[in-house]
Amino acid sequence: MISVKFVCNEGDGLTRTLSVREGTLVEDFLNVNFQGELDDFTVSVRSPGESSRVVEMDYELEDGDRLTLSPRKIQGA
Amino acid sequence: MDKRTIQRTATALHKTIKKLQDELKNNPYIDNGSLNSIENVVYQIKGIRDNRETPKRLEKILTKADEIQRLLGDFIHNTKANNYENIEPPSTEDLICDINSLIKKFKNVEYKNKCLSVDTEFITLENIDLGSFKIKLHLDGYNSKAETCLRIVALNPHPATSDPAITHPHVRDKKLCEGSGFGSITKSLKEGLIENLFNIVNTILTDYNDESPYVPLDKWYEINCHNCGEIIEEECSCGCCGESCCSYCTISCQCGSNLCESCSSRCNNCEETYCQECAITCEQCDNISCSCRFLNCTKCKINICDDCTYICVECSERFCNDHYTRDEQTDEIMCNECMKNKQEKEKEVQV
Repeated sequence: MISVKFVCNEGDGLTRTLSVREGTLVEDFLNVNFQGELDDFTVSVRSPGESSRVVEMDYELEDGDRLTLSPRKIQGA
Repeated sequence: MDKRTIQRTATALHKTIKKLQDELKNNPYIDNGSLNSIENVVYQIKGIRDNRETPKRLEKILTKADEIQRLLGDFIHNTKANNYENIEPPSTEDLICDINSLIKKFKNVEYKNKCLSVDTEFITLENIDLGSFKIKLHLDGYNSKAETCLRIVALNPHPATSDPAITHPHVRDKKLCEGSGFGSITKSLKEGLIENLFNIVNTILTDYNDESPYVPLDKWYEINCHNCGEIIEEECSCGCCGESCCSYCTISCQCGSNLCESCSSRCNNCEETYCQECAITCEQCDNISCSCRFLNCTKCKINICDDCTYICVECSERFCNDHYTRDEQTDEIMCNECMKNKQEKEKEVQV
């Protein structure tokens, strides 16, 4: 099992650290942990010691990754 | 930003975030709003209940019970979401990665005077150029509320014509109105997700919510009348205070200058409008009025209003309070000179 930190910028919930099986793809991870239209979001991953980068759905998560899900549009008021 | 500054910034951020989190841990949050609502519904159920329940009453009670269930869910969610007993600040290494990510994405990442800042790209919304902005995170006022520690500074301001403090449809006085980003921004500040915070703010700045902007973009270059607030089609500016007024609210002074309502006065005597420049102060009673009510004292030439003017019965000239005398016998008003002449003539007659 590997540990992945999940930051979801939809709503105000806390950041969660989740244990997932090795070889889990971003798509599989989000299917389980996020209910929403993924087309409206950008997915980025920051691996330990690296800068964050936008990733595709077939990216294979690694231990210590921080996965951030951000809406493409956030409306001010 | 060099490596040493990045390290220094990350250390300062770590210390600041830890301080906030310690405060949050020591002051646990309870969603009192939801709790009060639950108490209210329970009170309502007590009012509905009777010793012998009818089907109608039972239905009402069940509806209220559903409401309690929903409110209880809100209470649990909000209280859990706002309690941070297990939270830990990101490590300095994590924060260094955050800063490096910011350097990769934004221009001009700086840490000066306990303030981390980045510059956005040049922002154009609905064909209106707003320029680029500096997003500033002040560590001195670091808090879970963006309004205390986040500032959005227009680098080449193109503010709304009606209000120079509005440099973006969602920024006023350098403060961002977070809208739907409120939850994420608060969370980022509490958890110390610095890269995330700047990204969210940048996303808000590059988007436009036409439902609740400070000034809608289709009215960005319109000017509102200082007096009535309506959009000005034909602009006039007040010659006195310089504010913009619509043609309906502009009043002309006798001297020809345009005035707004608050800078104009109306003369009770001639009913003409006059401006502050044309207003005259009576040097005897300090009353301010239109020139139609003013004369100069024949003797000392000071400005006097008609209330302070005395007409000599002998020479018919006008005089101020200091240059007339009232005849004690006849009660007539005379200027000092005519009175002197009269007294001399009377003396001659007596002799």
